[in-house]
Amino acid sequence: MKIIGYVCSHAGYAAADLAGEERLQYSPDIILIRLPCAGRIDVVHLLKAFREGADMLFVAGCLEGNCHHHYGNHEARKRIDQAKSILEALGMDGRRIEMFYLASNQGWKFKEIADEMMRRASELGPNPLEVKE
Amino acid sequence: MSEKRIGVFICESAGGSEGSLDLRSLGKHVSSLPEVSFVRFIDQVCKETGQAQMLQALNEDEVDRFVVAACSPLSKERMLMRLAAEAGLNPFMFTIANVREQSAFVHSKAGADLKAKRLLRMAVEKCRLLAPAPYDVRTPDSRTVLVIGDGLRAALAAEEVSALGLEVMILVEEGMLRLPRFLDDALAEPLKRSEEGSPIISGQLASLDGVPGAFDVLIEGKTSGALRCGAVIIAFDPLPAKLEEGIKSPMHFEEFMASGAPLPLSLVIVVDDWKSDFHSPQAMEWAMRTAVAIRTRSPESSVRILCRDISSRGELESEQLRAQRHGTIFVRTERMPTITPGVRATVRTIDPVVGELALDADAVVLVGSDMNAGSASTCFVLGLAMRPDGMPRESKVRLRAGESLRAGIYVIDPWGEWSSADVRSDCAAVAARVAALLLSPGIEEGGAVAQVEAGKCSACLSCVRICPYGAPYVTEERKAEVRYELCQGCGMCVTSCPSKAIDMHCYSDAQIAAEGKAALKEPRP
Repeated sequence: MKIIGYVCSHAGYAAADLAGEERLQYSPDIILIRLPCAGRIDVVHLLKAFREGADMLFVAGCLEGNCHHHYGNHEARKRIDQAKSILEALGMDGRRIEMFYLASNQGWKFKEIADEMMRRASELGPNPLEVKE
Repeated sequence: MSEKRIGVFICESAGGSEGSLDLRSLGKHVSSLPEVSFVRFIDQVCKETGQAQMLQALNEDEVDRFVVAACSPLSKERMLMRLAAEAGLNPFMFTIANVREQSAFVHSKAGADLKAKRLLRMAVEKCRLLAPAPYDVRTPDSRTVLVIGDGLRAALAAEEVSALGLEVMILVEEGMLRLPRFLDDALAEPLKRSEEGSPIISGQLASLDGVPGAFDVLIEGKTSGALRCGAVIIAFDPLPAKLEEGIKSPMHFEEFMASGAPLPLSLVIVVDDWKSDFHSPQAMEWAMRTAVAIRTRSPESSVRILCRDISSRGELESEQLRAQRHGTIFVRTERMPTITPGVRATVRTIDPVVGELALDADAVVLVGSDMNAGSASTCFVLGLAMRPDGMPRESKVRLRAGESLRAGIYVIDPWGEWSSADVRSDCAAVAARVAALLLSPGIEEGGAVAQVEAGKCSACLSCVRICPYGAPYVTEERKAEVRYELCQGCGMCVTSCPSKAIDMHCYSDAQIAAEGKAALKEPRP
């Protein structure tokens, strides 16, 4: 499976680091791209990633009301919802993309997110859009 | 596009003590990538010997950017910025592949090797698209702190700031600080000193422009003129509550006590914390101290304190015990009592346990507070986001308490669970933050900041509206521009721009796309 997590530097990435320190094992199919803030995520990034063959995508930002950049996580949420509706219009399952909120001290929650995305990936199967070479 | 020269460093201890990464094959893999000039194995990137090796390699081979495969950028970024600057590069011309926490530690050996290769490839792709970022270390132009307020908080903040060796000016609308006459002289004494020691300007804030360390302030009113300051502290006190007839304010009552007149035989002190949703320990502190003072002077008097909640945290707890030992009766009420004034006033209220109560009193004192309009008008001038009570919103209440959304502008909260002793520690905390900014050798600016491509901008104001920090503005040529001194690099303006006229350093659209592409290039495992 190919799963990309767009994570904010302050919470998502730090939580993944903590999960590493705690040796919480998750699937190596999950690759993180670090953003300065979840609000940096653009629908274009998400759709491009799907076109290039990503099976699942997720965005992880700070807890609600606790965003380092005040409301970046809410901006991210809006864009995730937008991307979801585009996916659904294309006939794909909206659950392929999800927004999560966590804090930098929640390594266990990062593992949960990773496991949840893997579970959904095995349920939904590979990306139907992937260009066959 | 000209050929990039990328140096790659692999930290020998990136695999962790378990040694679960095959670093040699990782090095072989990355050396086959285009534009990679060299791959070096460094014993430990975070050790001085390791950094010396890296510096030597950067100086010998003419690379213009580098990639480090090591642990988390959250811990290594600042160190590598310094290293890049020492090697004569722009301090942001490097990327980090986190092959330790996000690969070696969390996956089985085969999976970790595969993922480390992917992560390193992504970092190389991202590195290829780096451009020198604007970066500046600016010495604060002015070390003066402007305190805007009208009372206790302004005086305490001014005192704490000047104790740290910074110049202070206090801007007061009416030309005088309203200082409460506390029963405790120990607190009042340093206040007098600070009143003399700091120049008080009377006037109103008309405008503020500039960047932290160099704000240009215009003042109107009694004294009008311009001044330059390095930081601003907004420190308004809540106003004393409005009073109905026959009810005394704490200040009146203190005067009455000081006059030496016979004390009332029965006193009711109403602590008003119904108006705002915030508890008011300061009001409770006043009530408890007054009760003790009255009972010591005239032991036959009775004192009753009506309150919704006794908030006596910390040092105040001993005050509460003292008041209780002196025979003060605390009466709980769920709502604001109705007070009928007269020679003997009647206070009617409902105790949640006892039920309806009618208390007779020779004197009634109401201790409470109203919101201060001064802070809301200051927020308006500064363009700061406000809370419903007119105070500037704090940046992050838990982690960056006392910082407003605009860099260089600080806030002292008028409510919250503070007693007067806590107000001082609150002011001291903010003063320390201000000093950290203004006494630092230089304020670092730039790095991952947004930049506008003027040709594409249609001045739609999307960026101006979405920025939490007020960094973008529209120039006279009707093009947006981002002040990188104020930009905190969240990238929300980049995403919100409908013309895609904004991009940011270190996290450009092209870089995020390239990382995604590199991550997805391999066939599904």
